[in-house]
Amino acid sequence: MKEDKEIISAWLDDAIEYSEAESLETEQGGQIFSTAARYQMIGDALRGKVTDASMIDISASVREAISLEPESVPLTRPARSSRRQFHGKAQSHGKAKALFDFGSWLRPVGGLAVAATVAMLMVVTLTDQQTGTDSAIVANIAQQPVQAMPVKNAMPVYAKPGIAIPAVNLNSYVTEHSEYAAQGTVQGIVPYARSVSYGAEENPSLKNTVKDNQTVNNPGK
Amino acid sequence: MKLGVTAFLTFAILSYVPAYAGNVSDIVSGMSAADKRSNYEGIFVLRKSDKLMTMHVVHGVDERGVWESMESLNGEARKIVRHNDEVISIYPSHKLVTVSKMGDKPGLHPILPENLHKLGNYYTIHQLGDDRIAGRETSVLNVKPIDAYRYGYKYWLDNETQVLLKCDLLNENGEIVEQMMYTAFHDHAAVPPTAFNIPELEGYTRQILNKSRGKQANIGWRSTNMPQGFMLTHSTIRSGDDNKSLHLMYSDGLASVSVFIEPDENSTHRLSGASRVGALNVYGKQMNGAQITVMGEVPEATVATIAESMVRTQ
Repeated sequence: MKEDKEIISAWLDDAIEYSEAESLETEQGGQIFSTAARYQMIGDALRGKVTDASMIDISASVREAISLEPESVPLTRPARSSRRQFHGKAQSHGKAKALFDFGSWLRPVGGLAVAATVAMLMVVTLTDQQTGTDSAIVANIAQQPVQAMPVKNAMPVYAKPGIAIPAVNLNSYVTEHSEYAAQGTVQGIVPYARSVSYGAEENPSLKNTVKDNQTVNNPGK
Repeated sequence: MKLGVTAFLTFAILSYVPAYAGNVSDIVSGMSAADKRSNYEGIFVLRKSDKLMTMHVVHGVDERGVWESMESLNGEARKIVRHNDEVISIYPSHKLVTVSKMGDKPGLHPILPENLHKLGNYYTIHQLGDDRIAGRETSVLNVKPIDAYRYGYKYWLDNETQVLLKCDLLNENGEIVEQMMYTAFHDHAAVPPTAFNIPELEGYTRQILNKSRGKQANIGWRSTNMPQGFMLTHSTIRSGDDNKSLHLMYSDGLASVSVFIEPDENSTHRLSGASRVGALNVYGKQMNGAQITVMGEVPEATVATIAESMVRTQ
């Protein structure tokens, strides 16, 4: 089973050819492609590439899939649909295995994105009184053992040469940085354009939205 | 001999590129003012690493302030409508609309154009000549950093309106890491009243992202080695995702750097070392149970220096 997942991992990341994955599946009598499709669906669900209606059904499947997976299964994060080509760079399974840790990536993100228990991104003003409380929360953090993922080593294999794409999800930070950077600069539309260029499908803070059925007022004329 | 000296002097005078030593404020002030007085419409492209986006923009000013509508023309449909510091983002494919407001309180430090006089301490600016962008005459300005802690810029400013029609962001090696350029631009006497209307959003999910500027007071963290010129302009506490995190924004007037600090426990942003997304450099480290993430359109050395110098003050 573990070996199957290594093959899936390599195939989803274009690390092996489709024909190679197919022959391995035939040899082992496994269910590589159906399992890969399931992981692809999980990835799409986590990235919000499903409608609200289908999300309801899929979330249960995702939770079930997550709960069934052994915690230490080494597997890459699902490849993007557009990248799921049947022609990849020849790379060893061992490398694909070493680059990713499915358990550490999917569990926290899935817990947030699928359960959607916390939806609202709310920034409060730092008043003198609030600072004493809120900054203390940040400052008085308990000492925790750090298990950091070296990002350069965790670079997905589909990254373009010279461009490191963080394996951790920083998009909510990037969006917030862009919006704040737009304030007080002279560069006109550029910072706002940067903000627009980060899509909702990549923004975890948007995926965790709670539907409130409010009508949006038209701020125009 | 006399002819030779004359020729040399003529050549020297013609080839001399004047620095805008005394006019930095005028130039940048003109760019900043263009945002608050111009009505225009256009299409521009934004290139970030290997991605190319095309957007339609309408910009207008009335008695209620500055309005701006920006819509992506390729890839996923997205539209934002900005009114002063309120930004409404519409994602049709997700049936989602978000509203964010930066707040009415002033920033921690004066930002442009109030602190224009300080820009000359960190950048030199030269006029490179004239060029034509989107069928309009422009002046090209080269903004070079004086140290290795910030990127350089090339600005193409419309001669008539001072609106920025093209912008190159240049890394420490002089390579372009981000480009924006209008392909069509029309200035208007007044923008049509319906330009900023938002379409019917029935059935859309609405998410409010309230944001307020805060005071610089007892934020609990500071940098012991902040590159010269970067000042704290905003500090906010953001909550969500089961965590509270601190967001500090530093700016030298052109470049901006964000510092996010959150409890390392349950952090979904766990990052160690340097990384890059387009023109954005990111550096993460863990310290005393906190995840520190620094990002900005600045060289890697800048985000790394700031991240490594963050210390708790309480």
